[in-house]
Amino acid sequence: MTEPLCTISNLTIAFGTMGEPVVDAASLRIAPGEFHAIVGESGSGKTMLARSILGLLPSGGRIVAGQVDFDGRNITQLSPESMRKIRGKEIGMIFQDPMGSLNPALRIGTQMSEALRLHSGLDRCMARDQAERLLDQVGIRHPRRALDQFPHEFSGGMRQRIMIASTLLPGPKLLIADEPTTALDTIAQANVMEILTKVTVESGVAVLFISHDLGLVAHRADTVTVMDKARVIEQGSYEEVLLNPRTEKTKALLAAVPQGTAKPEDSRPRETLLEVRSAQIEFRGRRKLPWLRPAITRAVDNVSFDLRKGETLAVIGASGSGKTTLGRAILGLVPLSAGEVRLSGDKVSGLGRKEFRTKTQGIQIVFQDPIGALDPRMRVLDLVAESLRHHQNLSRQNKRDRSCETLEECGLGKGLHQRFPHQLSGGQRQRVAIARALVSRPDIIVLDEPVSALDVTVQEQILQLLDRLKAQHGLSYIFISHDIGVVEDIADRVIIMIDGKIVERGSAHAVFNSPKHEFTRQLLSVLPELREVDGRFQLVYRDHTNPAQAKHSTVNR
Amino acid sequence: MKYLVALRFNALIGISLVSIVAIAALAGYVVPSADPLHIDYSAFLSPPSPAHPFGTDNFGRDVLSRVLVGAWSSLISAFGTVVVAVILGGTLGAVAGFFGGWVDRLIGILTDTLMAFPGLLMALALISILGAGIVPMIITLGVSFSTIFIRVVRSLVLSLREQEFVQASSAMGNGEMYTILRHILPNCISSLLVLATSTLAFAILAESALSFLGLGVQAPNPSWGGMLAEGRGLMGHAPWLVLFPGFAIFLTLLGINLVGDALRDWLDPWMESET
Amino acid sequence: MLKYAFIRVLAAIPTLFLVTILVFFFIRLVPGDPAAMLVGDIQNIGRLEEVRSSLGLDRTIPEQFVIWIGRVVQGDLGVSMINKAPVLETILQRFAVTAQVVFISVLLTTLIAVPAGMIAAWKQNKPADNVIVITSIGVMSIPSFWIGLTLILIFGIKLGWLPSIGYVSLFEDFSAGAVYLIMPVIALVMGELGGVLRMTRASTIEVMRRDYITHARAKGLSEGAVLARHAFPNAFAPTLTVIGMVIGALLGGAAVIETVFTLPGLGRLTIEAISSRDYSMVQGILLVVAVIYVLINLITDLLYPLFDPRMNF
Repeated sequence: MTEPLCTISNLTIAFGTMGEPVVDAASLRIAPGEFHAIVGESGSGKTMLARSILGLLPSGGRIVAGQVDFDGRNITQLSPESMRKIRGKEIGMIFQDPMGSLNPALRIGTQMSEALRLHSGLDRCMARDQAERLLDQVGIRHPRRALDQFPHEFSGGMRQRIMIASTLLPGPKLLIADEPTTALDTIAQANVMEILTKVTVESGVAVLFISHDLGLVAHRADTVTVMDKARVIEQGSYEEVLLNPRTEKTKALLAAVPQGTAKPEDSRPRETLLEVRSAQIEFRGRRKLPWLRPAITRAVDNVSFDLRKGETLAVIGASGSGKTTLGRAILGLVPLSAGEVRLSGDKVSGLGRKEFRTKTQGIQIVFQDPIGALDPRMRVLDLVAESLRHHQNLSRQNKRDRSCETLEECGLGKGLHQRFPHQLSGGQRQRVAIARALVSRPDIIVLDEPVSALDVTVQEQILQLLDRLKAQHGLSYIFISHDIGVVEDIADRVIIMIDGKIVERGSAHAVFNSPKHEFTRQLLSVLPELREVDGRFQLVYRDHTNPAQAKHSTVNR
Repeated sequence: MKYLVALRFNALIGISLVSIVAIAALAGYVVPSADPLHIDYSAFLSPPSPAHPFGTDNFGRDVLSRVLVGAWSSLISAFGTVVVAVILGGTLGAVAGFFGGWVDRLIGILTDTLMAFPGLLMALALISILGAGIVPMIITLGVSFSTIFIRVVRSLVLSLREQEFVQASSAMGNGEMYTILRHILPNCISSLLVLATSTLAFAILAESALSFLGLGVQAPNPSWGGMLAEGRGLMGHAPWLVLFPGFAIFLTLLGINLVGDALRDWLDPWMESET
Repeated sequence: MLKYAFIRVLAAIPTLFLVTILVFFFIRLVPGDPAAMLVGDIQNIGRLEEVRSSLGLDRTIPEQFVIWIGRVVQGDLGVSMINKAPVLETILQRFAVTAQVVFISVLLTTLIAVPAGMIAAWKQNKPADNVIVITSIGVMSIPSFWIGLTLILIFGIKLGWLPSIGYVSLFEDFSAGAVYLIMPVIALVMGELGGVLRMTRASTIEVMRRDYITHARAKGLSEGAVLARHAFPNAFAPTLTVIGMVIGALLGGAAVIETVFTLPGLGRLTIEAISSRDYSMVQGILLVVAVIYVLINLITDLLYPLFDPRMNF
């Protein structure tokens, strides 16, 4: 075996003097040129472990025990000055949020060449030339012009490419990437992964890649470390860990990756609950000058669909495609500019608030962000009971009893009913939000990205809960998501939206297996998928480039 | 940990100072130790002594009892100012933030215009119309401080309105008033409390400045600012005339600022960058 | 950039318009007849009528407003009701004094408060931060006019080092002028220091939490470079707004300090005008100060994109 580039041995990190360790005796080795993935849920300590290598723990955090050796020396003991010589030059780091990790006040060129000039003493001109070359490599068009632009002029995916170029510029031996694609939408995510793979292979840099998504790292990981509750619970080559997991947690992480089992076509006739006809929603921008016409954005453009009783309709689109606006319009939260919404045959759009609500008691909503969706100053039980405020026929006690029952049905025991939202975990909060929607016994629940803010294993549990509730209560769902992988197992029918328009629709089976629109194909082709075959996991990709042959093919590693 | 201890320590000092001032003000109001208006020519300009711990002024009036009574008028006018500012600014800000549209724009332009007249100048101008005195002072300072509340409450309400829990309330079919009272207002209160505390300090400062200029509390009634103005010409001979009232203002402000700081850290760490 | 500036300038127009209306009606809210006050003899009917028509008081309110605006635009703010001195000229003369004190003070305040606030944020929750924070709370709690009085008492009266009363313009005699400005400037700096410092600290703390700061450190930059190059521009933008507001408030509201040090500034003029019921002077001051305030806000807005390019739409 080659001499390792970086060795972490028995590293323990804690906050404060008596806090629980956030990383507990973790060890790992990275060989030169190796791609090492650390996988775990949020709070598992993976980010702290990675940051400790560069000595960039948040204030209050410190290394209690163990050490990090890099290139033959212990770097946990280095003076701040010597550490700075390693940062950027020897070890580069890419952060999760490309919106936050580039300085909004400085031009791209200035930021990029900064580290290079610091470490190599190149003059401004030469540094700019090199920066331009790297921007070109990561696929930024007009790299020379980009050098003089500011970060806000680029999209999230482009910024992350700039980050990659910027970090690789001084020629580090190790690149730490902390969830670099988590904040991006599916396609940008795939593009950034592809670029990262390409440039790291070309430059031969070792990569420590941190992610919560096992499917994502399967692209390229040589070795995998799985972390849970501050500990390393599994470690080894990609084959060992992903294809033959030993711990329950790893199995859960694997199970959370989409299984690619679209529901079969269901042609039974069903009663139509909700009809949306030629819905159009426009937003008026701010007038920049009083006499100028305000810019009008058409968020939803001529959208029509039906929702039948007992089915799950998935609305898929990238951010800005109008899917969320559409969901809110069904609830009457956003007015339609044209078109109509009919509920069981009655027109409900365009009604006054009161009348609207009496007619649409049967529609409820669950929002994406369970922190934002629950009033921070109300207790769990009150949050749920508030949904019954307009049910005059129920007594106070009845309302409380029913709220209690519903909460328990959603998996939240009595012990949690008097807590405030911030005292709950993300998954528990989303259960409260679901209970709140469910308690008034609706027919339809609009689920607006209900699992996007959650960890993958929690996502899986929430999806199972939703599935169970649907069966028990005969619910219909409108499931809005940017991630086509999430809805594959639960959707009956699928709508794909781009720029406010529906570009593809059909049964889940048809859309997943023979997508027609280019965008759908793209979405599906970047979706890695793990399949269990004879008790072992295999990573598969779909190949939809040729619609005639819409079969799965095992990934060629 | 250490910082927390230091923080609590600061808060404790702040609370004690504020309580002392409040008790002193109450004591000065209810049981004046010596009549603050009593003129005693036999003892004018006497330095601090057991009989007059803070000395006497050029009319022989007891400085201690004048400082105590001054505390009362200072605190009353500062509280009055904050109440006017909170009610006026809070209502306008909430209306602007919640309803948006032309109402918001109108209130916005009004606020910008009011802000164009620096607080003290506006107070001076309004007092020149309304006449000097404690009530005109409360009204003018209240109006001028309300602009801060309009801005802060408006931006708070705007950001809360976009929050999903407010949308969820609408989705439940709750009316606007219910949503404002049940969901928006309770989530504004901590920020308002912090802002009101710092405004209280500014109001005391402004009150003493106006009284110093002779436009607030009118002589012969004692006020800290007025005492400073009266003692100014004599301070070479009788420094206690400016030292004690000034010190009273300092301790009061220190107490309020310390409490405000602790409140800010405790309730609302992002507040400061908003105002 | 030009478009941004254009929009900002246009946005200031409704405010300016409302300012002029408010100022115009201010003088009409004043109890009593301005003409009578100007003449001083209400028996002299002929003279009263003459003054009324010269002031345009015999016309309708909208007409009066148009005439008044017309004069204002030409720089004619009328004459003082007391000594018949031209209002604008008097105001500008006095404003020059206030401006010297205020700009020097704000400059010094910024030079002290911004680095101190950034250091406090950088050393957040450490002893250095605690010392800076507590000092700033202490300084914020001392009324600036009391500082002024105490300075006069110590350095003017007891020690006799500095003149405690009077003023010499910096432009006439720099060193003599500077001596007169020392104490007022110290008093003002101490009055404004706390607010600016705390604003800088808060916005720097906010900025230091951002990923781009960690990223700058991960590049191997020294702490000094991280603070100066990456934290400063982002943290200074909100502070700039506060500094603009401080300048605006002081230009019109340094009355107390001017009274303490008997500086012949704008604030002093305001007090004099109010106590002598010179309403045409008060009106002029209100207008000039409001216009200056709007201009300063405009300048801050125009400077903002230098520190935050996202604002430059």
